[in-house]
Order: sequence, then structure tokens, then C-alpha cells
Amino acid sequence: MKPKQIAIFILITLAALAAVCYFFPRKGVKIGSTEINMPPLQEVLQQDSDVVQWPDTVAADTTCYEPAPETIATDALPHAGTGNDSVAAVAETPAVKAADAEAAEKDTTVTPPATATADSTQLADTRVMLERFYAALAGTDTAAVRVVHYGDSQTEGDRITMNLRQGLQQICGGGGVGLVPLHQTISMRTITQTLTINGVKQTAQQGPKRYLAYGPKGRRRDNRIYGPMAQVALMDNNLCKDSEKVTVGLTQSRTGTTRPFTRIVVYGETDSTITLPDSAMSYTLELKRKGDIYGLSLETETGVMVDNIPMRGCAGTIFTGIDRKMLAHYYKKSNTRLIIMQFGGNVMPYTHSRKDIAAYVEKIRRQIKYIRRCAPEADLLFIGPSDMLTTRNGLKTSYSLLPDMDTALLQMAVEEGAAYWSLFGAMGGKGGMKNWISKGLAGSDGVHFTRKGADFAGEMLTKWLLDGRQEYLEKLQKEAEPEVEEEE
Amino acid sequence: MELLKHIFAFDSNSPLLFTQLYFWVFLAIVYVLFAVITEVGGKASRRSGRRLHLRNVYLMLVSWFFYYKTSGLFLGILLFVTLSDWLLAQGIYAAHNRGRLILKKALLVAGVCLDLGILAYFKYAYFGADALNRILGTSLTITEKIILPVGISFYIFQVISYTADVFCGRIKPVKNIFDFGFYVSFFPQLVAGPIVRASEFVPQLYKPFCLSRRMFGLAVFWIINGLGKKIILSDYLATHLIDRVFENPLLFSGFENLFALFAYSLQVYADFSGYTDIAIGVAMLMGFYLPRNFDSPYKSQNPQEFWRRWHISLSRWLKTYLYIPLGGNRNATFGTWFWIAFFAVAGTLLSGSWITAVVLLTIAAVVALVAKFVPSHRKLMFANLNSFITMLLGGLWHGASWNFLIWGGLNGIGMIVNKLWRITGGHLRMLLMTMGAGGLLLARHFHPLPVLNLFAVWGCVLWCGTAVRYIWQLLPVKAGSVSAAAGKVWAVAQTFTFITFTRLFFRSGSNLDPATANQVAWETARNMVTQIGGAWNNSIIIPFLWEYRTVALLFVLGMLIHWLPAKFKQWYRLRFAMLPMWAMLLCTVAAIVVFYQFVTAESQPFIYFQF
Repeated sequence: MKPKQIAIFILITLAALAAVCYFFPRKGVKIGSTEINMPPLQEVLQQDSDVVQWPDTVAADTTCYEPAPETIATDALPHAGTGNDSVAAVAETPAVKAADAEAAEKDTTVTPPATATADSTQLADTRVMLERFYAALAGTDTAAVRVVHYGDSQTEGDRITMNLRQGLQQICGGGGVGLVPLHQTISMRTITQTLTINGVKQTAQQGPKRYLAYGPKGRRRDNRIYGPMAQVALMDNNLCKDSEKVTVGLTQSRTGTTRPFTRIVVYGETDSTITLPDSAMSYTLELKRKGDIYGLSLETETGVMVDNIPMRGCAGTIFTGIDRKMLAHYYKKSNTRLIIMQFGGNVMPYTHSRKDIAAYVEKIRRQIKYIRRCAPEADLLFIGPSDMLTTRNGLKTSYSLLPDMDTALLQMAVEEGAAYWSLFGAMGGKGGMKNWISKGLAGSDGVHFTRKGADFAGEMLTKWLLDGRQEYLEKLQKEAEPEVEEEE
Repeated sequence: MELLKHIFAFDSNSPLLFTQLYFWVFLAIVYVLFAVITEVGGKASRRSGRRLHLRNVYLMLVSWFFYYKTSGLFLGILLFVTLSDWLLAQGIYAAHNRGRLILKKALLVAGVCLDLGILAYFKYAYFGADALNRILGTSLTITEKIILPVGISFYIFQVISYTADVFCGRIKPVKNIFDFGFYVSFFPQLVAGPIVRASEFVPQLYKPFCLSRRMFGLAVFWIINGLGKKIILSDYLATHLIDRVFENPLLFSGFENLFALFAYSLQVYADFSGYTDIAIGVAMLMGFYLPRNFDSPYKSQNPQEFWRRWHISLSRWLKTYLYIPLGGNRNATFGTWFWIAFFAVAGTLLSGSWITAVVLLTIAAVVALVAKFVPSHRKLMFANLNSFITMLLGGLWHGASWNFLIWGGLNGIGMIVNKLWRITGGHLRMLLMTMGAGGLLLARHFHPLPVLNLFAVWGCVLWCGTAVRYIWQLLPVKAGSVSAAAGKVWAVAQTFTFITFTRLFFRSGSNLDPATANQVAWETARNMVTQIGGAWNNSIIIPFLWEYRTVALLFVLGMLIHWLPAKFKQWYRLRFAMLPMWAMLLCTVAAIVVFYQFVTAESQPFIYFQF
């Protein structure tokens, strides 16, 4: 063959493909249940240029993200705590902006990586809902304050929560990793647990029977008694006879800044507390009783405790399926003053319209109302879904309804008097996940964060919360200062 | 202006990849000019040296542009090694002719050190700084992130092979630097091989274009075949299952992890061999023939055979330029002991445990003692030690990570064990396997660690196979075709499983930030072993296979195609090659339409089967 003929073959092939793209029906061709699609010629020619439009910094394309406050009527905002300013007004006050800058300058404990360019003032609008929590933090030198962080797989293994705990404990004191299940079935970065029966270490599949309020229905319990971790471990005679020795080895990781604990509270049908003679990073607990165990809390008498309660695959609509008294008991006993709910990612692949969004948001509203009834003393913070990628026309792109979901959740949270942190916005809005992937902050699945990404998100969240506290303290200080009358 | 910038400027987000339209448009334009250069003028003119020279220079410039679009200013490194190795090879040849052997050796050492130094900087700077800090107590840090230039290993290996071949007198140096530049940078094989030796490629530079109708058909077949492997079996499987499992093994059950691991074996083969298939096809269209790089490696019946079929050009390179200089199957040299000492130190640094050094030095000491006191085993011992070192270096070449060392070491051990196994008698085999499987079961009983669970199950499966073969040999029946076929299937399955297991460490260490690669890779591998050996859950197998049915079907289909007899594959390849042009064109367009469906398939939502 001659090169001329081969060149013609290549050109005809490309021309034929262009013709297929040009004439192929826009709606695709259905063959059985399979739909065959080809991109329009125009799209083919533009595709490459779309791909290269990735911004260089993580949040460089925050402009893509239109935060929703303007869509929210300011009169819908409750006047929480001591503040009477509306959310929008707080966000716009120059003093607050100055305080933000000052707080960021002063804050040496939580420094997000250099690439963190998410503007916390942009997202500051709902932190006024957390004033009771900020007020409670002022008393952590004499009492313990609890933060409970519920989330989906994004928080599994103490991710994000760990950074929040470290940030809060560095400022307000406290130690221990908070509430953990009796039998660790999923590894955590901050603690290693070993359950042994008569000296034999139990694998993830062994150990006590576990019931879950989320996940496959086969794991549910007949009643709604699950405990604050939405799970319960059943220590019964099938597992161990009365004469057998059951121990739980608890070893907190020495890496990072995990702080020692001084007591262990066993939450179960009856609670019990083991006070240690001295602070410790590890302890072997011997369980001497049977029945339900809801969790073990590694904590201190004062300071802040932060629980990591991940629920893989969960959309956050399961709380109403847990006995109210159980939850109320825990929140009261542990002095829970902030409950964080981080959900939404698991519903995105199944959300195809605004109607789906509205239905999900209403379900979450019910959960928030229910949690409020269980923990009337606690403030609520809802964290919406991160940016997530799906494949469309061969290109990785954000779910088109994610901004709507984020806005709708924000609207609902504000209506319910809860704070809202837009993880989606903090990532840079639509397309932010692409940047996170390119910077090694998220996995190529376009959904989950890497460890580095989880740390980054955790530090952004911590900074956002602590900036809010700083603003709150400055506001208090300002109110306490006597007004200086101008002399005539 | 924007359009011109987009076409000619480097953009790290938009490299020239074989799977992108941009590349094929680029190829079409390149080919039209190539045809003009090759065909214009009379027959004598077309065959003249000047015309061939013009063609080579043109393709070299095009290749440089290709590399610039892929790696930006790293093109400078390519140009530098091209110039330096060309000059050094000229110097070596001149020194040889003048009988100045010391200068000749010095030039070779300088060339190899220079090439490996460049490679080492990009691949091992973090490891080197870490090692110096630990050994000398310094506090060196690398402030700028070091990005590995695309394909650097391939062209560095290529120039080393050229310089070494000139030194050994296997080839004469290329007179014209442009011809040499073309050989080093020929764009189809520049990024991912195959590693072409000068003796195979340089003679082609001086031959006029020649491509038969059948070879043209084969070139088109290799391109379509490669695109299919890359898009369907590699990218689709990776995006829809494998990547998400490897990124978060703890989110998935043991079965899902194991399935992803086996699927990864297919993916990595499809990705790499798909890319080289396309490279071979594109090069063929221009009248150049690249060596075959993969020969259905999962048909191998033992690890040695696997390495003869997998990444053939690299295996040959390692054998020629590493294994044989180390002493090969004859002896141990200074290099053998140097590398043992090096790996003892590197292994200790990477693993953070001195046990690695103790194990390696003990192996070396045992080998040395056996070689000294049992002369009949001397060659066998040294051959095994040299091949073990070669595999360790092959592992380290992939990156300075403990995982890659384990991967290389496991492959080395697998080859050695298999060699020894084949010279072991049936009774001893049965005894050893019974002791091994029994020991693992006992260990697992007293310490139910995931890794021991995993090995105990594998040990029992191997014991069953060995027992069946042992009993069969005791029976008074002659070995027939059925038993031979069964034995072959068993050997292929075991080799595939072994290679897949080693990939656990390979994949965990791939595509990571070099600064944290060692830690992340080890954690990923450990988590996967934990899940496979501990978090097994039979109840999710059926739901998982149903939800991921496309992935599962593609995996099965991919493996079945892979295992098709070579003759049958050759038959359909030739049938395609001889199709009429219009039919070939239709097939090509239809194939691309099908590939597009896989490229645009919607992401599989996350389904969590294990809680």
C-alpha cells in the first residue's frame, strides 16, 4: 500500500465518524433497554476545550458557585441566642469581616493548607445559629461539652471529625476520641480496638451480634432501641457464658494530636463509668455484664468531646427510627451541645428532578425536628453533600442538581434554625471535585475524599466553626463595653 | 489565536493520548505530510538517502512536538539525553577503534551514570532525601514538587541500551544525530514503550516505506484492538469498580476487594498492552515495526513464563543489561553483593524495620555458603540470587516504595520457588505442601489474622491440587490429553492467582504522590488484605454480581478472549486484515461507536453491601 492510500483511509474514517456524529439522532437510538448515543459534531469539536478549563487552585472557580442566600427570605431566619441581626446583616458587617481576618491571623492552631482559598465569610451566614454552642464552649474548663458528628461514608474512620476534635480540644481542652462502638468493624485513624473473649481475639465477623438502624434491612432490630450510634451490640449468652471473660482493648493512636482520656463511660441498658487514676492513651476494659451495649465513650471530665458516628450508605433519614428516649438520654447525660449531620451524597445518584430534592429535603426536615426534640439544648449544624462527579457524554462532570440540592438544604436548615455549612461551596462549587482530584484531595471515583482531602475539609470546617466562635466572643465583648458618650 | 494556542501550547490537563480525538486528528495531519514527503517524486527519488533522511527528520520533529504536548518543557530532558548519548556512543566507538579501553569504559560509565542520575532524580529524590536524613541526621527537604516526566524510563532505558550495545560491539553508532533523535523519540512508542533496541530499529531508518495490504490490515486491527482493550477493559473497569475499591478498601467487603484485585489484573494488562497495540499499529502505518510487548501473559503456567510473556521488551532489557552483567546463571559478581547490601539498606529504610535487612543478608549468606560447600548447586544458587536481585530492581524501578520492593521480591521468590518445585519429586512435594498448609492452618487457628486466613485458604487450595496430582501419579494409568489439559488449567489458574496477589502491592503503590507514596501504599495493601482475609461476607456475593453485572461480564469476557487459542486469534486477525477496504472502514467506524458507548456510560452509583 502507498502512504497516499493510507492517508485517504485515515481521512475517510475521520470524515465518516464526523458524519455519524452529525446525523445521529440527538435523543439516541434505543436497542432494547440499551441506548446508543453519539455526541453532536459541535460538541466533539468543543470537547477538548471544555476539558482544559480546569482552574489551577482548589477554590479558584468559586465564582461558578452561586451561594444561595439571596434566594432565602431574610425574614425566614430565626433570631437565635443573643443576636438580633439577620444572617445577611451579620455576614455583611465590616466588623465581622475584620474579626474574621483577625481571627484567621491569630489562629495558629488550625491552619488549612496553603491551597485553602475558600472564603469563610462567604459561608458565614448561618453561624449565628450556633450561639448557644459557642456560649457552652465558654464553660468547658468546668464541665464537659459534647459534639456529635453523624455522617455518611465521607466521615468513616474518623475522617473530618478528627480534625474538628483536634481543633476544638486544642482551644477548649478535653481529651479522648469520644464515643466508639463495642466492637470495631471499621478501622479508625485515631483508635484501635480489640475485642477478646477468653483471650481469643474476635474478627470483624465474630463478636457480638450487631443491629443497625441504617443499611440493609436484615440488620434491623424488632424494637427501635439502638442508642446514639444508631447501632447496638448484644452481649448475650450465645456469645459468652457467664464464666467467660470479655475484654476490650482500647488504644488511641499516638500520631497526630489525639489527646489522652481520663474516664470511660459504657453506654448500655445501664450506664457505667470507669474513672482512671491518671490520663491514658490506652486501656483494657473488662466487661462484666450482659445486655445491650450502645457504645463506649473515651473522654475527660471537662473540655470538648467530639463523637464520630459514620453511617455508610446512609442519607440521614433514619433518626426517626431510633427510640427518642434513648437519644435524649445520651444527649442529656453527655451534655451534647452541638449535633452535626453530614448527609446528602448518597441520594445524589438517585435524584433526577427538583421534586426528588424537595422530597429528600422534607425527610431531612423531619429528622432535624426529631433531633431537636431529643436534644433541646443542642444546636444543629447540617453539612450538605460534597461536589460529586458523574459521567456525561464521556466527560466527568458534577451532578447537575447538586447546586439545587445544596440550596434547598440550606433553605431548609435555616428555616429549622440550624446552621448550614456548604461543603459543596467550600470545595469551589460545581466542578470543584475535579480540582480536588487533580490535587490528590479526592479519589478518582469523584465521590470520596482521600485522607489528605478529608483533612483539608476537616480543617476548613474547623476554621469556619472557630471563626464563628471568635465573632461571637467579639460581639459579646462589644456588648459588654460601656458606651462612651462624646463630650461636648 | 486561542485556537492556535490550544493546538500548539502545552497543557498538563490535555496531554496527547491515544484515546483522544485530538491525537487521531494530529495523526491524520502528520500522515498526510508523511505521505507527501514519502511519495512525491520518481521512484529513484523516493528511495534516495536524502528523501529517507528528510522523512526521519520530519518524524523526529513531529515526535518532539508530540512529547512537548505531553510533557511540556521536559522535552529538554529528551533532547539532552539524545545529544549526550549520541556523543558518548561516538566517543566509545572512537576509543574502541583507537584501542583506548579505559577511556571506552569511562565513557560508558559516564553515560550510564548520567542517564540513571536523571532517572534517579525524578524517581527517587524523595527517597534519597529521606534516606540521607535518617542515616546522616540531616534535615533535607524537597520544597518543589517533583513531577515525573512522561515516558522518561522508556527513553532512558532505550538510550542506555544503545550506548551499551555500542560498547559491546553489538551495533555501530548511528552516524547522523537526527536519525538517532528519531530512534529515541519516535512518538508511538515514546510514552509507554515497547523499549526498542537500536539493533532492531536503526536498520529500519535506512529502508524506504514498505507496507503490504495485509500488513496495513493488521495495523488497523492492532489499533482497534488496542483501543478496545484500553477503553472497555481498562478504563471502564477501573472507573466503575477497581479505582473506588483501591481508594477505600474498607468500604468494601472481602469478596468485593478480591474481585477488584482480579479485575485489576485484567485492567493493567488491557491498559498497557492496549497502549502498545496502538503504538505498534500506528508505527506500522508508517512502515516501522516495533517488537511485540505482550504475548497473552495470563496463559503462563509459571512465573518465569509469565515474565517471558509480560512486557517482553522490559524483561529482555533487564535480562540483557542487568541479569547477565550480574553474572546471570553462571556466577555471582561484585554487583550481586552490592545490590544485596543496597536492598538491605533500602528495605530497612522503606519498611522501617531492620528485619528486612536481616532476611536479605541471611538469604545471601545461605546462598554463598551453599555455593561454596556444595559446588554442584553453585550455578543454581547464583542464578536464583541474580534473578531475585533483578526482580527487586524491577520493583524499585517502578518507584521508591516498600510496596514495589515487596512486589518485586514476591515475583523473584515465585520464580525461584517454581524452579525448585519443578525439580522436586512427587513424594517430597506432597510432604512439603502438607506441612505448609498444615502449618498455615495451625497458625491461623492460634492467630486468626486476616493475612493468615488468606494464606491458609490459599495453602489448602494448593494442597488439594497437589494431592490430586500426587494420587493421579500413583494410579496405574498413563497420562492422557485430559489430565495434561487439567494440569495446564491448574498451572495457569495458580500462576494467574499468584501474579494477581503480587499486584495487590503493585496497584496500591501506583499513581501516588511520591512524598507520601510509601505510607499510603502500605496502608492500602494492608487494608485490602484485612478485608479479603477477614471481612468476607458470602451473602453479598450475588447482590454484588447483579449490581455490577456489566463489570463482571466484561471481566469474564475479557479473560475468555485472553485465553482463546493463539491460532484462533491469528485466524481472525488475518481475516480482518484481508477484509475489503470498505468493510474495514465500516468495522472501524462501528467499533468506535461501540467504544464511545463505554466512554460515556454513566457512573455506577455507590452501593454499599457491607455495613
